[in-house]
Amino acid sequence: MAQQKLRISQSWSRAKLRLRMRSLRGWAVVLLVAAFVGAAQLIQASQAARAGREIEQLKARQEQLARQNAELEAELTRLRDPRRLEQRARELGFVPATGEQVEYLPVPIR
Amino acid sequence: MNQTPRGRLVVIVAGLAAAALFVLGRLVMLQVAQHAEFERLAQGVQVIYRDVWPDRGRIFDRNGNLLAGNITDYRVGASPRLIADADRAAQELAQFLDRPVEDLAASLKRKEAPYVLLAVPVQSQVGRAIEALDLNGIQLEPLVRRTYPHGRLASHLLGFVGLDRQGYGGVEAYYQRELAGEPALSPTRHDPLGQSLGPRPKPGLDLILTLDLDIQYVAETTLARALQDTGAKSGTVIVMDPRTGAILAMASLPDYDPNVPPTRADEDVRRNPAISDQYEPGSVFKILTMAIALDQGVVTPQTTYTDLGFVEIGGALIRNWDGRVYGEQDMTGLLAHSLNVGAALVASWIGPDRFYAGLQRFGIGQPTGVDLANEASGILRLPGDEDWHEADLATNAFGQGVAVTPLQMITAVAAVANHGVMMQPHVVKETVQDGVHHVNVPRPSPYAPQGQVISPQAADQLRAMLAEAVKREIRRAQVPGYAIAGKTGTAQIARPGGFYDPEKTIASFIGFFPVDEPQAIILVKLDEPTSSEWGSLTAAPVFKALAERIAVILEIPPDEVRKVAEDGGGN
Repeated sequence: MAQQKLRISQSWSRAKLRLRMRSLRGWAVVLLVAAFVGAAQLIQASQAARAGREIEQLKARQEQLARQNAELEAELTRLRDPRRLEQRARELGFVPATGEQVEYLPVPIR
Repeated sequence: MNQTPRGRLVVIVAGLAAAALFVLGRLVMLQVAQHAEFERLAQGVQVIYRDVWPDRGRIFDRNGNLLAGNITDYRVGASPRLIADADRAAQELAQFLDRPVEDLAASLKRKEAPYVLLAVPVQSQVGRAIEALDLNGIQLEPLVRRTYPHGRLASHLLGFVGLDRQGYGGVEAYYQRELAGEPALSPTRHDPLGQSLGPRPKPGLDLILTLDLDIQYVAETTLARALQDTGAKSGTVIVMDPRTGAILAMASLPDYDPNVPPTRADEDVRRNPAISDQYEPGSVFKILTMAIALDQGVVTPQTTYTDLGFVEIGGALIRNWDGRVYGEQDMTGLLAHSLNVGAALVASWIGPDRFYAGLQRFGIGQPTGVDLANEASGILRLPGDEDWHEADLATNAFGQGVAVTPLQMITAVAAVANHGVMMQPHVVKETVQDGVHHVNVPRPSPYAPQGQVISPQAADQLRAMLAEAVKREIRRAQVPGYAIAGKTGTAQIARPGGFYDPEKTIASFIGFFPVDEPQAIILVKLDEPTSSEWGSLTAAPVFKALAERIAVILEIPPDEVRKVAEDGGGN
């Protein structure tokens, strides 16, 4: 009788443990899912931050290139300055053409 | 206590779960519940609010040559606390900055200062060289500056931009709103990149002018040579397309460099004489007197009068410029010899009402409404005004007692060249926004009337008369291969007190070509020439030199070639 009581008690304890374990497994799954979602969110946030940073760096680079472009444009304009071009042309022996020196070819319109 | 392995496992799992739950809960609190508060706190530290200005719009000539742009200078500063070796940094910086090494080292060793300014402004090449040193703690802040790569060229027409980002004079002032764009109050990240996080400012529009850089250059160099040759103290040249009112060149000397900040001493030089200075035009004004007379049917080119060398009108005795008697003259002879007596007589035949109404139709006494800042209106006294006298009718007929700006004068005569139709003078052809070109419609002048100011017949008759006058009497304005229509002017200079300077004059010439279909009209004005007082000897040769070059630049074939082309294209 006493042995039977012990077996019942052990069976009861094991059943309770199994129930507890099952419940814990459920919680573990919930925690795992939450951790996974949290990790995914953190990864995404960090990727977004990195992308944002890259965009800012590219914008800065774009502005820097725009500034360089403007400077080069100004430099090109200085090199094309008519005063400079005329001086160079005269050094090479050119003189300004007059209207009479220009040959115009009348093109018949049919 | 449950000491079985499984029991211990349960305790550990429970502990970990509690810790994970705590972390998760805290994450949720920080990222969701308290998100707004932390964002505000972070922005307070990382972000500053400031006006972000867009780049000012650029200005180009009609062929796309840059006339005004923007370049970047730098402000060089340092955070001394971040600099490990101040002496070495000072030595490296001293190669590029105009400061002694010891001076720089002293600045960099001020560890108590969060920031020290090392140099401003530093040119872009120098800034980039310093950037390449990659020195920790050295900061470069870009400063955008207006630049005029051609220096003094077209300075009066372009104007300049002050440190307050405001345009002064010329196109820069008139189109301030369009060029400046709109700044934005923008949150800006307080880090080395200094990126704007908020709304971008609206950039300024680029402007394409009607100005032709080559013609402007020719105008300025020819004018400079003319000042040397004639001893004139100043001068103005305007080149316009009479068919559209487009200004191809507007040059005045002395000029200034818009890249150099203005001073009190150069205030006068920065004013644009072509639109802001008023002068008595002298005999070029006879063009308008004759235009009104022909338009009103008062005279024809063949009308004659007997020139006695003087005439009295309204109590004033009018004499010819040389005091000579010219006898019987037709209207072309009047213009060719530039006879004051004839012009005064013609004005008296027209009568004051029709004469002054005609001058007002030509825009005399009113601003032209050109799209340039600071235009003067000129002076035209009218019958009924307190200071108008009957004698004014006679003197006004040959350009005395009336004041015009060079632009008013050329705009009025351009109407004669353009079959009697007066066009709105303008300098901006197109605006460009985000790469898209928009034709700039000149704002119609609230003052000067445009349109048909005299009949096409009167204009065409006068054109032929002016061409004949140049052919007969103004040899120095003649251009080989081209018939030229034009008129000289030699005006006395009115001094305070109502007297004329007995020695000094303003010599001028206005001419246009080709006579049958004018494509260019040129005004030359020389102030106080000393080689000769006469426009025919000083201003006319300048016109000739300009017309020869402009004919080539605008590819206007000589009259013979055009005639052959019109008659059948050389078959």
